[in-house]
Amino acid sequence: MSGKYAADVDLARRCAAGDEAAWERFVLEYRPLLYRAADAIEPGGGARELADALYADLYGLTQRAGERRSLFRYFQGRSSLATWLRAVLAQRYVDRVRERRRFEPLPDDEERRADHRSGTTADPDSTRLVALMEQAVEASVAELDSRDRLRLGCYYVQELTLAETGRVLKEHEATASRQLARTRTAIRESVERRLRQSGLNDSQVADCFAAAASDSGRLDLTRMVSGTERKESAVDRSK
Amino acid sequence: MNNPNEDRDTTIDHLLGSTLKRGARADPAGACLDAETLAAWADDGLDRQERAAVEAHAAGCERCQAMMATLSRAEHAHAAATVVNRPARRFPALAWLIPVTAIAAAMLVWIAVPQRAPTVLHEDPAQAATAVTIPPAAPAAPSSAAEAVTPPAEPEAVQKNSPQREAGRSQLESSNARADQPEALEKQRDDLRAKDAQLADRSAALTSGAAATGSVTADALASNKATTANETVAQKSAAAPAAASPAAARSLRNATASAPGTTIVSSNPGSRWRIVPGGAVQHTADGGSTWETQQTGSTVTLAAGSSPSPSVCWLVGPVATVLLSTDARTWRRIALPEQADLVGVSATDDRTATVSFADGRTLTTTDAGVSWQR
Repeated sequence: MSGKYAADVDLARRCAAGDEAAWERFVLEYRPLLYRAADAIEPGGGARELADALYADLYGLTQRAGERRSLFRYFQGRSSLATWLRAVLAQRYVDRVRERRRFEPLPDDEERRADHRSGTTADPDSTRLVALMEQAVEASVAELDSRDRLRLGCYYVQELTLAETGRVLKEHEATASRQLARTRTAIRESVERRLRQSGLNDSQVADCFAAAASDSGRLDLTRMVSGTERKESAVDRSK
Repeated sequence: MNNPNEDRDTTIDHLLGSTLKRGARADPAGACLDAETLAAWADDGLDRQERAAVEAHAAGCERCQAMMATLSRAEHAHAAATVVNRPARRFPALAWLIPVTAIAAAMLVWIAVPQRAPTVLHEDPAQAATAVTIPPAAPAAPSSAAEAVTPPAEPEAVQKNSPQREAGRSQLESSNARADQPEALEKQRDDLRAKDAQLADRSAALTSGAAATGSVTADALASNKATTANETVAQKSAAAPAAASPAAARSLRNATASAPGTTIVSSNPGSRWRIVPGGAVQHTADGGSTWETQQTGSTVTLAAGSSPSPSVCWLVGPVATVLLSTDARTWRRIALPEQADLVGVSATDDRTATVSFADGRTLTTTDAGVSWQR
């Protein structure tokens, strides 16, 4: 246990043991903090119910073999109690979003077919080129170091802004921007190299890029598939 | 025509969105981050290897990325709220601006508030025609909201029968009366010179102590100005010629903070303490109309005090003497880890105080003297 957070660990242990005075102090000090975190996670107030449920688990309403089981027993003091509480809240919020996404209905079949007709190219050669591109991109991303991949994930998958991406990586927004640009360039060079290694000449490599750029149908299809995910994304990129 | 590489980078940009989403859906290697690890990652509580492992997992795990992003947003909101509540901690390098701004504000108040009528002091018949104006104490010395000023040491009967604000005038009259007695006046002048020399030495230590505490308010300073103008004018009649110069005025001002006879004014000016020789103090709860003598248990004359509220007062003195009253009646002695003469104290409440040694060192307690930190 880190001595840095010894006071937090002590408070958590006393709360877990049912010390009412400790619990009162905890509520007084941490309830506003937890609500503020909930409001930051979902400004509409949707995360507050998670914060309330968290209180019940922290207090230890559930019992096992006659013993009160408090969530506090999982706090080991590797961080401040406040950060740990926010982490638990973030974990529960993300899991709830993913759970809801699982039950999200798929678009209507007719709508899907219409999207498919309008979006998918009929040119089989173009489809092959785009597939080659995607394979090359996947392989190029896989050879990046984990920090670069995490940055890409925050920006492209979680759709965070540059500032938010920088905060996750603990780097300045401008640094995140520069690193993303550098990584994109590295991926492009790697893709070009891989395409050439697979036997394509410069002209065919250019065709691959052109096919991927004009493959709006496939990209649209991808967006359609991930549309729900985008809508349910935990973090709104525009904020 | 755009640079072809830029066009291709744009294409890569488009492809990354879809490719990474597909890749992130696949189950990554290793278990997802638990809240403990996630929090430690956010608080920089992981070593290099652990951090690398966390980032390696999260790089391919959409769930953990989402948790990191969500936690980051909550942490950011918390940090923003902390900045609003505690701007000085957010920018510790600018903390020095607080006392500087307070001093500047006090100077403005000093200039803006009309000066009192100059006091004319007559030392002896030969000097009766010479009028000397003693400048009011300038705003720099007090180290807390409660300031210390030095009234004249008055006989008990005088203290009880005349209001505090009349003390200066009484002393002035007394001084004028003594002007007819050259020998007595000469003796008083010598005594005051000796005191001034002693107090000038203490003032240097006080100044460094006050600088260490760094909490000066404009109100306190303004109050200091007014009270000092009221209460210290007559006492320093012998030193008046010297006080006409800025350096002498500074010396005079600092001296008032620690001499026996020091008055400690609380946040409510009606409640004050006055240090008297022999370790006792006097307290007034009615702005100086009546004074009650209190025994503190100390036998040495105390040096300075600080009263952050009407019922709380800290006193310090020689040989590590620290006394605290929380009811404005009784005093308890507080142990100090170092045995040396104390010359100043600055308190913010009944638990938090900073004491200053004569050599400029300071000790701070935040638990009513149970422990002290440098």
